[in-house]
Amino acid sequence: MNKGFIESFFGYIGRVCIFLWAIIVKLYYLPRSFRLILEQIVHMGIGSMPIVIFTSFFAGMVTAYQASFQAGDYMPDAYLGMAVAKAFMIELAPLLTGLIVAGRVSSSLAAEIGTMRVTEQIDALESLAIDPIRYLAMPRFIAGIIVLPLLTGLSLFIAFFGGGICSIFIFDVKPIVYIEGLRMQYYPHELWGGLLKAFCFGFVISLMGTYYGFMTEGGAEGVGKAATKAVVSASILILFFDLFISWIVF
Amino acid sequence: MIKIENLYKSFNDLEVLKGLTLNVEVGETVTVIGRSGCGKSVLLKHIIGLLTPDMGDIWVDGKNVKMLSKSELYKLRLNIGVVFQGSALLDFLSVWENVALGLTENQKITVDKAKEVVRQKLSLVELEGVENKRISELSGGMKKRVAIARALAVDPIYILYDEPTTALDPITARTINELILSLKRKLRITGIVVTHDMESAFYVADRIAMLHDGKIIFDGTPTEVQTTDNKIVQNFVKGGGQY
Ligand SMILES: Nc1ncnc2c1ncn2[C@@H]1O[C@H](COP(=O)(O)OP(=O)(O)OP(=O)(O)O)[C@@H](O)[C@H]1O
Ligand SMILES: [Mg+2]
Repeated sequence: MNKGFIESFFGYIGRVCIFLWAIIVKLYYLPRSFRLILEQIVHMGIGSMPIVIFTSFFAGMVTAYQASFQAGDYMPDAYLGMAVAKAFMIELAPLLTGLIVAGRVSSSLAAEIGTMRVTEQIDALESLAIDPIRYLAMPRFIAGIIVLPLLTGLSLFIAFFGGGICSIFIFDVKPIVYIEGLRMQYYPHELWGGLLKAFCFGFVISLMGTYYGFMTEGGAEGVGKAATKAVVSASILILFFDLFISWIVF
Repeated sequence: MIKIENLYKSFNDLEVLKGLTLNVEVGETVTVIGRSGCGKSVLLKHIIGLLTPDMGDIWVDGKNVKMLSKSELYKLRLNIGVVFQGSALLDFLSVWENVALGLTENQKITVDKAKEVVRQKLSLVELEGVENKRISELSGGMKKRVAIARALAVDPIYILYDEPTTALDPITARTINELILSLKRKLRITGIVVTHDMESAFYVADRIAMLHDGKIIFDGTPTEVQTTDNKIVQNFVKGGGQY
């Protein structure tokens, strides 16, 4: 490992932390930015709903199918519901949602803010005595943190429903038995752990999207690069946090 | 009063400004001319503190821009309207939201009041009935005029125009030139106009300054510009001589 790598690695971490801190000090303006945050929540949340619903529905069906395929012969029917619920609560709902939204939202945040950077819109905000971190970054950051747990909840619900469809129509499990599985071996910290993951993923997604947006330079090409970097780094960090939180909570 | 002293700025290895000095008195309009890429826009960005000098100082109202804290700088910017070269309108907002942005974000003002100000500023630049349009629906020249209206919305003391008349047809360009003049005469707004358009330069300027090779190599009244024997200025004004 050469010195250049270490320097640039820690330099990078440092820059991200400074950027994060700049956002955090702007939380003071939170009440005033209510409308901006709401707009972003709607924009990110509603926009991501179709793909989250679609993916979760199929992932739920596949999970039920696979669980039954692997262990159907010597497993009581209710365990099917439990398998789907647990898999999605702990792991699949936050991770799937996180990765999908990372692809959709990080890139669009980076591209949107990056375009504003290269077309001098951010300079224009500065010239109007409006802090771009407060006006652009902070509302998006907060919206990301709020939206991800909500979408994860939605994903969980849809996946359980999808798994149910599969169990009921393919494996002749009675609906009531499938739903009963939800209560079996239910530990609240599994649900909270999953939502904590979602919270962190939202943090990572909006941080990376806005960070690379603000750091954009070099015209349209730079905007494209920023979008790519935002998605890649958000996805890597999501996988990292996934492991980290699983390790801490479970 | 804007005072720029011995300003140096380079980007990586590219030296853009090399000891630029320029004074703009209160109520005066100074036109800065110079070839494309000579650092005119960079100069304007230094005045509002978007770029920091490598060396040298900029004084606005007796305050040294590079020494100001962030909140002092923002307070200073409230007095300076800037028209960016590429208009730089926020494209997720409508026309009226753009023009009103400096008002709605920095002071308590009702929507009706803000809309009234917007209508008035837009009529100054001869734009009516575009308040609710999206930015992407406007032509380049309309964007430029909206950008001017936005710069005027907060009633600034200073206004910096970066090529306000490029991308405009001759008739609208004339309107803008007349607007710049009347703002100067009526409101005593101090202005710096960066331009390539010599006609506009002669029309609006009290003084014309030529930026060349990182320095102001000539600074004089429009008459002085026409009678100077400085070859570089002559050449620029006459558009490189005869064909
Ligand atoms: N942020 C920046 N990073 C690197 N180089 C820059 C930056 N801003 C400007 N430059 C360089 O500084 C030089 C002057 O740029 P500037 O935009 O001031 O030119 P200009 O005089 O306004 O030209 P034009 O009339 O074409 O607008 C150019 O060579 C440009 O490449
Ligand atoms: Mg320029």
